[in-house]
Amino acid sequence: MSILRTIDLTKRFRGTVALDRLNLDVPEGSVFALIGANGAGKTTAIKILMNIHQATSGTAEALGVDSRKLSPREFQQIGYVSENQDLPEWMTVGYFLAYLKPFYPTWDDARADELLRQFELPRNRKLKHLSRGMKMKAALASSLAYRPKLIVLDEPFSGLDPLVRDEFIEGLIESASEATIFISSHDLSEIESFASHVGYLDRGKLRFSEEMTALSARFREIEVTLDRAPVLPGNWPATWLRPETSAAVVRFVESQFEEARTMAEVRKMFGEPRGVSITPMPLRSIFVTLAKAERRAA
Amino acid sequence: MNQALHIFKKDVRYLRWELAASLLLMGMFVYMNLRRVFFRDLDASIFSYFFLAFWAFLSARLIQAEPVPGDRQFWITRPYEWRSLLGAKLLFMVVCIGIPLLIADAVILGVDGFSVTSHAVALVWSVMLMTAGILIAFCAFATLTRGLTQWFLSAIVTVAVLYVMATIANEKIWAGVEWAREYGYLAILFAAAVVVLLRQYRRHKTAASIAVMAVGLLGSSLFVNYARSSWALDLEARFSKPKVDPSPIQIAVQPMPHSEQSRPPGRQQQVVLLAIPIRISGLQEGLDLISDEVRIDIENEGGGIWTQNTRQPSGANYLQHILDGYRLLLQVDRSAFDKANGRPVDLGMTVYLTTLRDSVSKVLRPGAAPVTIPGVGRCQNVIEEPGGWIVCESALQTPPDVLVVEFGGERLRRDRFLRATSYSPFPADAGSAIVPVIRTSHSWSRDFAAATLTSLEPVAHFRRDLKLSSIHLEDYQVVTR
Repeated sequence: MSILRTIDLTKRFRGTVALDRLNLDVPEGSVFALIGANGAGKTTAIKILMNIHQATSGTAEALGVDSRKLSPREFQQIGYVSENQDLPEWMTVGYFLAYLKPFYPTWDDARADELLRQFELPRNRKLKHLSRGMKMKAALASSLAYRPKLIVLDEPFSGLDPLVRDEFIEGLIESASEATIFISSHDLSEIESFASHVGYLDRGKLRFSEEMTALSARFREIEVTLDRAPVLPGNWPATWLRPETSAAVVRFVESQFEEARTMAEVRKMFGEPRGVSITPMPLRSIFVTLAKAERRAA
Repeated sequence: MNQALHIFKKDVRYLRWELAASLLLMGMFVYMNLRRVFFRDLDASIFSYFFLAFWAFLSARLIQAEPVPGDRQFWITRPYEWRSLLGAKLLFMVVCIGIPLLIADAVILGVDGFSVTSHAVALVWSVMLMTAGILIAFCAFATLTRGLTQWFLSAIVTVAVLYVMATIANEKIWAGVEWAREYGYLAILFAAAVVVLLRQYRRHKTAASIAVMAVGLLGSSLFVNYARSSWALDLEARFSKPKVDPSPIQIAVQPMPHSEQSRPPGRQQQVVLLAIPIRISGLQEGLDLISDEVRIDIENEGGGIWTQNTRQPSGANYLQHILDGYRLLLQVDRSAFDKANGRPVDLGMTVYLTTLRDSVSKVLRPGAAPVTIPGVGRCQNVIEEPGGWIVCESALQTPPDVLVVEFGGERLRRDRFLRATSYSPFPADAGSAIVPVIRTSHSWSRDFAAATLTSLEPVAHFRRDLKLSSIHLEDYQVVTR
């Protein structure tokens, strides 16, 4: 079952298409990472899903409800944290949590205390006197203390130092077992460690959306060593991205890797190579490969 | 309701310093009234502007604790019920401004010698008007802005535009029916504010709400500055319940014979004064008549029509008592008068009239204690160089009765004090919550004489349409040298 879903979701800002017929399904219980370059439309998609912005056309659903009709009942089950969220800065951390508590029937004081301890948040300090990282942690603590069914995070790691990121992610991972997490981020290396699904958004279009294991499995960096200086053949497969040559070596990224089929293709292209090296790729490299390929295609 | 109370408590905590300042201001307001330190008339109105400015600021701070426009505020993805949020803001305005103001007004009236219990309804009404008409409009305005800077700039522009409109229009007080203008203004503002608040909290449609607010502000300003008092007088004549039936009262104009003799030229003023002799019949013994307004239509032979409302400017009465009856005094623009250029014209007049009944007379000696004149208020013959002033005070409402003052037996013109009279059916004036004691100084006598004050109770409002055909305006001209 999808906990977040968009169907042909389109958003235009004065003629600029921010989202172009976006079809997205976020399965319940997943940790879904929405990745994409700046301006790809990640924040716009999230804001429509949270009923902060209105779509130009198409539909968006959260927790099975049309996002335009999200009511307090749904928001009692959603934890939303954004990098540029304005918090009531005059409140102390403790008062902020105490103020929010009556809004949530599922608020768990013990969990709130635990989060404050875990994030080392000083109860009596005003939010305006906290660093950016501490503010983000306070926002996250206030969004996890009621054990939401859905946690939506919009670029939560931007500008955070590595230590804070780790603490932030630790807090998230603890909640991952009981919630669906939807996260947009540039920080691919951090996401890779705990995302179960990934969607790639490029200029408002969803290029792919799949399980992390499947994605990792189908992307490989392949280096083919030949006896001669390579010449790239005209019938270069469309799934082989970012081809590079140097001396007697050809490098490319296979985006639909299946060992037997890929090796057969390599032999068909280059004959019997002197050597073939196949390396799994981190998410960051996959993302960069895709982004460059898209840019080239554009 | 629980959520509204929860948000309300948070707002009280958030704005505790501003609230302390507001209560301090209220305290000053009461103290200055009680001590009567330079705090009547002009000072009161200056203080009221200060009050309003502070409350506008307070409402902006209140609303912007949870700003409506924008996409970054924390509360929009929290389980806020829009009704609770709006309810919390309105509760704050009532509890933190309305109720302290009610108490302050009650203290001022009580210490000033007015009965608080007999003015209880008027007190609540006046604070309700202030809350509904002004404070809610402040809140609605604040929902359209993201922060204090934006709010401040928008407020400056709005005030400037409204001020320029008022200055250009330069509208005078509507004698007797000024209340209709004030209530009309508040009603338009209230309607716009309610629409804005509902749209903003329910739908977050700021662009559309800005348009509604602009229409409301401009509409109310246009109403105040350009509406005709004759509309209110028409409504008054049609819907007010007469205590004495005015239908037997007949008014007829008496044409003047045309004189070919050229009249001596008077001073070339912008306004030409015409005196139309009239005959009034059917007026019961003990009743008198006063005109609230005369509307004139002058139609020349070519069919050209020129219309003018001659409202009661301060002091002038268009229905004038003369030795052998009455005459209507009309002010006509010199340009219109010159257009007639000695040729015959038709003169149509719509006269809005009020029948008055003598009620109570009391004598006021200079320097003596104030005397209560029913229907007018508490009056005093105050010794203040260069003469003795008749000063009257009323609680929360412009007095319903017309006051006549006689010094040493010489009865002054009755119409002089119509501007200090209100035919309002409501228990309090629109601005009375911030100026609870309404003070009017009427007339003064150079020789510090005793004065006899008589209140005249309005008992019926009606209109009569009169026409003079083929007359020469110059035959009716009052030549001044």
